[in-house]
Amino acid sequence: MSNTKLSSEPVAGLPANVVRRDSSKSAGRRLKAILTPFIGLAALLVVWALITAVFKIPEYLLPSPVIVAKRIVTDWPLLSRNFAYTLLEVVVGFCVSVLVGIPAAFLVVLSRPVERILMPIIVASQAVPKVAIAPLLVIWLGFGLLPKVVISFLIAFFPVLVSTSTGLRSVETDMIDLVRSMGASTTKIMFKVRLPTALPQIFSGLKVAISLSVVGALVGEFVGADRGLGYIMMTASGSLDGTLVWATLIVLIFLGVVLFQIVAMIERFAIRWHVSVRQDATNITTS
Amino acid sequence: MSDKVIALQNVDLIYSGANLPVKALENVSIHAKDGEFVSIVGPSGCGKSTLLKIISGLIPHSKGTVLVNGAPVFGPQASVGIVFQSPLLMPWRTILDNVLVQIDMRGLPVEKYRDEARSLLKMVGLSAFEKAYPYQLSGGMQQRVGICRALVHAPQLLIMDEPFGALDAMTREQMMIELQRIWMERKTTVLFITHSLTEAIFLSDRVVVMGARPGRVVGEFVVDMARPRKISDERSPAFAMLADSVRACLEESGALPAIHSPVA
Repeated sequence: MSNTKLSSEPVAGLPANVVRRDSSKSAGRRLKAILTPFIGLAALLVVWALITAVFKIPEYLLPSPVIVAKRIVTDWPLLSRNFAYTLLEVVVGFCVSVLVGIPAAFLVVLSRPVERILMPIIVASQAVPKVAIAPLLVIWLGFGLLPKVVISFLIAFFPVLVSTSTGLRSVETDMIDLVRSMGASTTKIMFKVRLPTALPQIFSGLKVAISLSVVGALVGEFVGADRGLGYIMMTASGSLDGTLVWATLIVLIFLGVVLFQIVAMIERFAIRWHVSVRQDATNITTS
Repeated sequence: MSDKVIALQNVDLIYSGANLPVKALENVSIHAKDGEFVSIVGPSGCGKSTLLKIISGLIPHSKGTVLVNGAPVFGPQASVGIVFQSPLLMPWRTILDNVLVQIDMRGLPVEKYRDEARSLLKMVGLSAFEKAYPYQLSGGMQQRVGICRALVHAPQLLIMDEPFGALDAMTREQMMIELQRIWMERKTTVLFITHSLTEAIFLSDRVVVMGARPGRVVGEFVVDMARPRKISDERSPAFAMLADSVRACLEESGALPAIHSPVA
């Protein structure tokens, strides 16, 4: 009888065990998880510093990280102001990509005709290099926020659409049969079965999209802008100020990494149950 | 007819394939009385799973009558619960919420069924796991959750499509005992689709044998053995004789090549 078999195992504590592990151990582990990435980063900086020192590379070609760090501090007002501006472009572009990409994926999955009409256009739009149409967008939309958001959206929207539609379709047929046999409507299946099933794939799309949004905003700024980190980089390289280019680049990398981590954090929260996220992926019993 | 929870009379199903129509079922008549445990055995391609889809209202049949509780089947059935070969649990829901999927999808008030879901989990020995997630359970435990989900709305008919097919031999035996106990407790009518003769004979009041291409009924055997049955009963002469007859029936229909091995 399964009752006796199961109770002989340390079952009673299981759910509690899973929800909150031994806190002291997990705090240590968390600290380690936070620190580990910085080891690689620190190593990289040391190598960088050594290369500039050993080969005596002139500052305008490759400044040492110390000089770059000093420059970030001295030029912080300039960098932070433009950081905020680029951040705005990226976030708006990303949000528009999500707000358009996910509903578009729903439409594509729900209706074959919509898919047949929409997909060729979307795929064709991806074949066009965004850098090539960026000048056009500047002509049409001016030097402000809008063209950057549009370019950012054009680049980032595609991975959102593709990953979401793939995810929504990747529900087992038996699962669909099961819930249909329970009388579930198409809408209910969409939101209570397909959408949760798709979440892991949606999030991998979002992670690609947030990185591409940064690229998009930067392309926009390179082509025509009067502020933003891309604009600072262009003007700095125009005046052969290599150190400022590097300082801006570091700030830009920081921007990309932080945004990516925010998406990853939301992912960890939203799909705690998924293999890719959970830390505690052990099978409790093997009966 | 009204005492029959399920009654299929001369059912045909023709799939209109891309090239030529395929006859999946031909003249199939199967019925089950209230509280009866009926197994359907047959080789792959005999339309067992098609049969399940017809009874549960997922696909329409082409000819004949299909009655569940005396009413013709059009679309999803209120009083049917299904267990598939794979547990099909939703990984984002806790075990308790997975049982309640049945209620949620049917648009019934979830709160009202929570206690019933808990008592079903208790019946299969999974009380301690109600807040756990599917990945924390073994295959056999997951399938028990699937059975609870199929029973939580107190259906009159439980359809099981090779529910133990993906389990290892030991777990399978354990699940056979457990299913027998659940069935004896709840007296739900069960339609049990399998290709294991052992499972079919061990569990059933009656075994319906199907042949393939087209799927049709080729034989029917009453299992007249006392309950509760034990795993050791599988070695009893009565069990072996019945298994031999079912096997012979399958061989005659061309479903099985004449092989000489003990009951699988």
